[in-house]
Amino acid sequence: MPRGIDLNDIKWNVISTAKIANPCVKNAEGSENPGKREKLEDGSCANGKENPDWKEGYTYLDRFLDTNKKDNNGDIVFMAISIGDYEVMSGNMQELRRYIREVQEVVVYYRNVTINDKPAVGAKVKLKD
Amino acid sequence: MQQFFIAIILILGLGCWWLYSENQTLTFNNMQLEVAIKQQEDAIESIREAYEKQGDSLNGMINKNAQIEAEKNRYMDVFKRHNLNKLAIVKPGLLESKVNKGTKNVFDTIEKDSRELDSLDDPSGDINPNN
Repeated sequence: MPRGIDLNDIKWNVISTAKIANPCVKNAEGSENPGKREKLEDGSCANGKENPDWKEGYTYLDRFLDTNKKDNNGDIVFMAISIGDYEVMSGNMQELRRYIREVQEVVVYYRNVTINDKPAVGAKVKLKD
Repeated sequence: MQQFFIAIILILGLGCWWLYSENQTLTFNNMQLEVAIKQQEDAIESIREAYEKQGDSLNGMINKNAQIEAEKNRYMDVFKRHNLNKLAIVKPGLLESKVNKGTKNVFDTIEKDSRELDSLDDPSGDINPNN
């Protein structure tokens, strides 16, 4: 039998223009209200935001583009796939898996019917005249 | 008269000898046929066992393939039941973790399936240990 399949993991990035939550930083231990995300009267955060470098309305798309830019020395480069195509690709993977498993069952079948079996031979008779 | 008796005895002696040799041949042939019948019975039994084994294995394979097909359809049903487009727009982070987990799971199961196949030619190994 051939060696088993070795597959490397990949990482999918799901990107949309949904905003990413950027909550206020919690009050430090020992302060008046420890652990509270305190806000000022004007609605701004007393301790600043958890990701201060994110502009207002920072989206998943913005974050992805920023990360991608950083990873590619200032260029933006990636391969994209639509949700529909992702569904097709998932279906294709399942179809391949189905085929591998069914072929495996065929191998098991042939193994069962051919190994440890008594040979069926016809009888040979030679009579005297 | 004496010559007549001698002739009769001679004829009877020859007859006995002929019958004896015929009897020997028939006994030998009978033994050969008994052996042949035994061999044929063994062969028929062996063929019957192989036929039953084939039938059982074939049924097992058909059932297993139906299960595999059903499992694939169950996976594919997830896409029918959920609108991934909508989910990706609203909660991309949630979908991302699910998609990555699902992909890893599929890769792992494919690797596992292929290892099971690889172990089939190991005579000491169990066939389909997980089935």
